[in-house]
Amino acid sequence: MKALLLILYEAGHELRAGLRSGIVTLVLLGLPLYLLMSLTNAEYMEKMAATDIPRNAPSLIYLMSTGCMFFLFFAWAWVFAQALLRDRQASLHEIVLSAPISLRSLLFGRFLGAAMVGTLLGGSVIVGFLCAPLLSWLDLVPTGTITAPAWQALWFSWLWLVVPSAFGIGALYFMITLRTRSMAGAFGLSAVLMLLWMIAVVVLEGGDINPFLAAVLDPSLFTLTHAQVESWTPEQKSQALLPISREFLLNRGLWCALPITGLAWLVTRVRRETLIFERTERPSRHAARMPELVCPETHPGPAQTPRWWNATATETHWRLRQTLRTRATLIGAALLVGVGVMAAFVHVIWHAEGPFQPHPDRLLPLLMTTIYLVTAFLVAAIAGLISRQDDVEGLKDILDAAPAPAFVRLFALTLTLVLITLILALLPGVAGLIVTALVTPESLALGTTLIYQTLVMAPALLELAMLALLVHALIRRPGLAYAASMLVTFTLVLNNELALVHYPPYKFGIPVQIHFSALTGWEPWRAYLLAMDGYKLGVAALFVALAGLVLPRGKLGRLREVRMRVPGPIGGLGLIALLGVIATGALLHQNLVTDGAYRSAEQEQRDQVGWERSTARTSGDFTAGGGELILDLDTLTREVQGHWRINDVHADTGVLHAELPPGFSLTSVQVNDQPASATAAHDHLILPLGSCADHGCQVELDWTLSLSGWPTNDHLPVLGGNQVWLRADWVVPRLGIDPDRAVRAPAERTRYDLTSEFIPPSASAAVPTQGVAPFGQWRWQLNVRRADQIWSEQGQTRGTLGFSLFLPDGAYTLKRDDLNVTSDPSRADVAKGVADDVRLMQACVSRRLGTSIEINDVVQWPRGLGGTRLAQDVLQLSEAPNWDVADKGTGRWLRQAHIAEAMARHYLTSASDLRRGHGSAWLSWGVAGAVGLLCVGDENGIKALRAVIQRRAETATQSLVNSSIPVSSLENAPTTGWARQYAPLAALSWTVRQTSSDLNSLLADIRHRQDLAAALTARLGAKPASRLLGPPLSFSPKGERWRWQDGGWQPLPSPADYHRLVRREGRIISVSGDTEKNPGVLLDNWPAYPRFAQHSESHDKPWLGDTNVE
Amino acid sequence: MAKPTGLVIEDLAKTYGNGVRALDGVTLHVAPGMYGLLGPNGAGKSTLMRTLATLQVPDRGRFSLDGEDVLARPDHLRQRLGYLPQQLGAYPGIPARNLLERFAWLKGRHQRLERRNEVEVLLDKVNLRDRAHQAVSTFSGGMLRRFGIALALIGAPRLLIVDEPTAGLDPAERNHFHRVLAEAATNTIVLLSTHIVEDVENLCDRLAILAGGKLLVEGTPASLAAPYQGSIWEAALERGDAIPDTALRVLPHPRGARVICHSEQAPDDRFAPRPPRLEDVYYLALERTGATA
Ligand SMILES: Nc1ncnc2c1ncn2[C@@H]1O[C@H](COP(=O)(O)OP(=O)(O)OP(=O)(O)O)[C@@H](O)[C@H]1O
Ligand SMILES: [Mg+2]
Repeated sequence: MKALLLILYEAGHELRAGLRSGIVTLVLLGLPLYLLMSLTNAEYMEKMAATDIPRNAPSLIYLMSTGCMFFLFFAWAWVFAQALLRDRQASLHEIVLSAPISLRSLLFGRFLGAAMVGTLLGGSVIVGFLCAPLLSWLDLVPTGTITAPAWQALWFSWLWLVVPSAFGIGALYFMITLRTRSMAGAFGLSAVLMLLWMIAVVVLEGGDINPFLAAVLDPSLFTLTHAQVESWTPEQKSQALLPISREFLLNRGLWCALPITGLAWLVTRVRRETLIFERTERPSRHAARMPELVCPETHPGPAQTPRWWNATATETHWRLRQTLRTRATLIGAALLVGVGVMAAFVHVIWHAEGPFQPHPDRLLPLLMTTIYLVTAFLVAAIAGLISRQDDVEGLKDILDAAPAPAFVRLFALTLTLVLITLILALLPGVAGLIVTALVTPESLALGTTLIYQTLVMAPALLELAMLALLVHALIRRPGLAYAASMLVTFTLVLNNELALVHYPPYKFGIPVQIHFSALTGWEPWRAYLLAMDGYKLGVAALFVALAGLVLPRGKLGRLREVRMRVPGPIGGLGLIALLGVIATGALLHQNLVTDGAYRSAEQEQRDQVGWERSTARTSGDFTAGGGELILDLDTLTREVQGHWRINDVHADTGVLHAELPPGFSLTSVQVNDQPASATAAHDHLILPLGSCADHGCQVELDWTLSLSGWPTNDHLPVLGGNQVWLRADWVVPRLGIDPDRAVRAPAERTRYDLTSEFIPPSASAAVPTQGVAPFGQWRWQLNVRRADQIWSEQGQTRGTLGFSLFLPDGAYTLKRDDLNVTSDPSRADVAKGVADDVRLMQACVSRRLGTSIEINDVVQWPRGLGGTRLAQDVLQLSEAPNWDVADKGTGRWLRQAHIAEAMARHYLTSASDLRRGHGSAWLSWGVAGAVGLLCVGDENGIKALRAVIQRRAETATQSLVNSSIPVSSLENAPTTGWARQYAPLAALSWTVRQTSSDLNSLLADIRHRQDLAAALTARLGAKPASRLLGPPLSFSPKGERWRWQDGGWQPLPSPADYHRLVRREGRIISVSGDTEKNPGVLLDNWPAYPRFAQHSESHDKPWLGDTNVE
Repeated sequence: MAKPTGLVIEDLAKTYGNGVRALDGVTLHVAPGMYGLLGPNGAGKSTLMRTLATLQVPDRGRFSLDGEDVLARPDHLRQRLGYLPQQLGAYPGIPARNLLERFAWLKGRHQRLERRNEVEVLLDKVNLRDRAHQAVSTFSGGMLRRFGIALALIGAPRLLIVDEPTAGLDPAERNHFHRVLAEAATNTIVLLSTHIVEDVENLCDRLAILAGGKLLVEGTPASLAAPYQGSIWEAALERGDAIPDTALRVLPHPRGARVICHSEQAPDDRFAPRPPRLEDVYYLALERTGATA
């Protein structure tokens, strides 16, 4: 009885202490507010694949509750450790421990109290979701996007996710603090927990090694939740509870039941004595080895004129030694490198869509993103720990009363942090180098690694480190300061994950987004990267200066101290930093916004809406007979001048539409040699033709286009020094209307008063699927002024107008027969494989389509420049992943499929003069993709075909359930979203049974009618045609069949009707019936894709990294 | 005009945020040598010392060291200051020698050799040389005080402020410490606060008694005691004997109490005259303000 009372008393006391510490208030206010803020952001919803479901749907509750565990790990560390350390800090521990009370009850009480505080902190997300209806009440979100609270899911999260974690993880913190009796022990444990999470997410789950183990091992339960939610359809996302599976229970057992049992055991064994004494460490070896100093006779007397910069250096050295020479540092660094190496192996070398070669341009970004989150928290924690190191009673006063000006200790601290941050930033690079040295020693790139880690990763980490420093200087109470700095770090990192912030300079704590490619080198990124780095360093320095100004000294008034410090070095640093931030900020604004194409998400959406409103009224069919285009490009002034004469323009509505590239500015426009007035708004040109529209007008456009801006949307710049890579549509208007530009999310459409569903224009009004102008007799001329020479190229075509230009610097060209393959020199080996694949696929596609695909050049198309495309006789093969895959394996087959698909698409779209109208995705992505898959089978056999279908099917499932736009029918889908993944698989069954003459007559029909749906209906009948173009269908080998409807898979009554793909005489054909001897690949006669694996040996997860489609 | 030497404090006042008036118009002149600060708990000694150590700013008043106004130029004082606060925590995990050295460069000693020498001399002075490789956090209470004293002596300060430095020292160490202070005091202003009146009496050239934030008396021990010559009486009373109202102090002893009175005449015949001690002066001063414990 007495024991129980004591437990309750202590628990209550601990709870009050926790509440008073300010951490609870901070978190309970900060986290819900942040959550509410992100719920108002549509972009975030898109990132969470939650456009089709309420913004407070159960799936989001689970994801957020487990997602913020990263932050909670640190907050809990403080809360639970304080329960044991508070007495000691007040030197009361001996009194408390000598009291005639039961030690067990005391400790249990403390733990219980801390756990209550912990659950309060953990519940903050739930509080946020409870407040979510406020948002719709305040009209901050579109109506209907927030529903009544999902009580069941909230209870579930609270009971199964939050409370067990708070108690279990708390027990771990409690135990480690009992053992180490220091804050560092608890913080060390939180770092270990983060690392475990990382191993689970990055290695076990991400690398498909063992998702089960990953789900069990991840202390936050995020891995399990994420994997579960990812496979849910929107319908499930807005209703389901997390299934309490075996791994779920094991996880809770491991992270809740086990630690609590452990704690119970430990508490019964702990003795008062062990709690009273400091842990004695063995004297360091260094100290023991120190030679016996001869004691000098005399004291050297008062110090002469001090040299404070000298002292700063000594202090920095001292701090560095204190921090770096500990065992924890070594172990931590080794662990991080180890995880990096593992991540590299699973994501590169053993990748399911690989194997890949560890080229630095693939490896380094990957390692950075996988390790970044952990490093960010680590940096913030270390910054806190070392800036609080001097917080020892009395000693702090002695230090404050010392003559050293405030800047000495501050700058030393800063420099130490800078160095530690740099080391942390280099660790992924070390991991990368190790992996490269092990696998492909010839592609070791020390310089590139060093530059990448220091210029891309380190500056962002520095921002975080210095921000943590500032928070600790501002907030005197250490617990509150830790919690606040972790919360800030969490929100900054999350801002990026959730796409809440767009403008690159405002992405604090986030690495500069660039696409480094060995082919382009640093040149195209240099100016942007350096400006961003300068800006980030400026911001970091500004944080340091602010920290220096507000850093408390003794109990001196802050304002007075600020005034005293402003004239000193701290103020000087602040001024320099401020000027630096302003200068680089202005430079960035100039190049991103004024000269560049940067637009906020809001602005972009308004442009889309404006575009839809202005095109809807006058959209109509148009044709052009052909014409002549002249482009002058100056690499020095970075300007393009265009002149385009278009003959024989017919337009039903008397208006010619064209989509404009960014940076476009119209200088003159003439219709039949008469000046005409056109409006160019929302990146769209509307040109009224007048009376000649019925019998054919001659239109002449003149424009200039500036390429001087910096890349936005991490798109590689078009020009880099002397290098040029260009596609016609980047500098030339595309004639017609592009339905892909429409806003599709229903909530956003209602917000802008648009019709509830977007009605695409007719095919003859749309832009061509590839290139800039529809079928015609076109001629073009390109003049590039490059250094002192002019480089010219001309061409002509009878077809769609599209061309590209690629002038790399220092590239390697492989000549094979009559094929030229251009790549960066480090990929000379890959080039051979690519050449083989191109020749192989060229033959296959030509055979399957009954044509002759012409290709003379293959070029490595750098990362960040869009997808693969065949233009004229040049195949631009995107670098990622096609130039990274190794010689053997699934990756190689996928590359062949990809190459064949690009060739097929080129032929299919130009032979049918296809435009982006109704159903174009079925032909340009579906049939082309199917041909690609079949060619892999033709050349490599059924095993290869099965492997690529398997990979594609998983990607398709993912893209459907996680689509950022509602999934309707293939006919109306934009060609940028889920249609790309789904269409090839759905078209496979149909495509395999077409002969080349069937196909060609369909193409001719489409070209003639300019209506794909009508052409298909005429050939196949209404039902089959509408199935081909309808909503997604899928089947399982067990005979079930589903259709996608209302955000989920709905079973269909009719069972799947199988046929099989088998290989006969080097060609994949379809056979009907169930021949057991010849397993082949099972397909449904309907255009449905195999949603479940046909062979259970592989249950890989698709990899949703780079997409190499355009 | 020659600048005044020593520490000149004029009308210093400090009221904390919670309304406690910890210093209330303190004016003092402290010349080189040992200077004692006496006062009951909460008298404001630590407040005065923290203020002098430039860790907080007074609400009113000013003070100067060797003629330099400290509030205007705190760095002048900081460069000449050794400060040992009342409470000293243990810095975790770092050896004492290492920490002393760090403090030396923060006090402006930039030459490595000088720094090393100084640290060794000081460690020797406080008898810690053989323990200097140990982490400060493993020191005993007395060792920690000694370590603190070494910290305060770094840089041969002109002004040494030590707040109850001898608390927790064993008699031998206390004695040793007094010698160290006395040695330092030849050219240094040593401001020492303590509750042990005897220490002040033996050590200090001058002293001040502080209570309730006010300065009660100030002078040399002898000059403070002189006025009471012949008016202090002492008697040993049995248990149960009546204690006169005029009793200044009642000191318990095994069979009763020793009572000390202050009056012109002996209160009764049990009392015998006794030469005034500084302790008597202290109690008398407090009695006058009604601040007696
Ligand atoms: N930081 C503070 N905030 C508020 N009041 C304070 C603070 N520090 C001291 N005080 C109050 O100021 C008064 C003087 O305190 P101070 O510590 O200067 O006394 P002291 O003479 O050093 O006492 P002791 O002999 O017990 O150390 C006390 O009433 C104390 O409660
Ligand atoms: Mg005191």
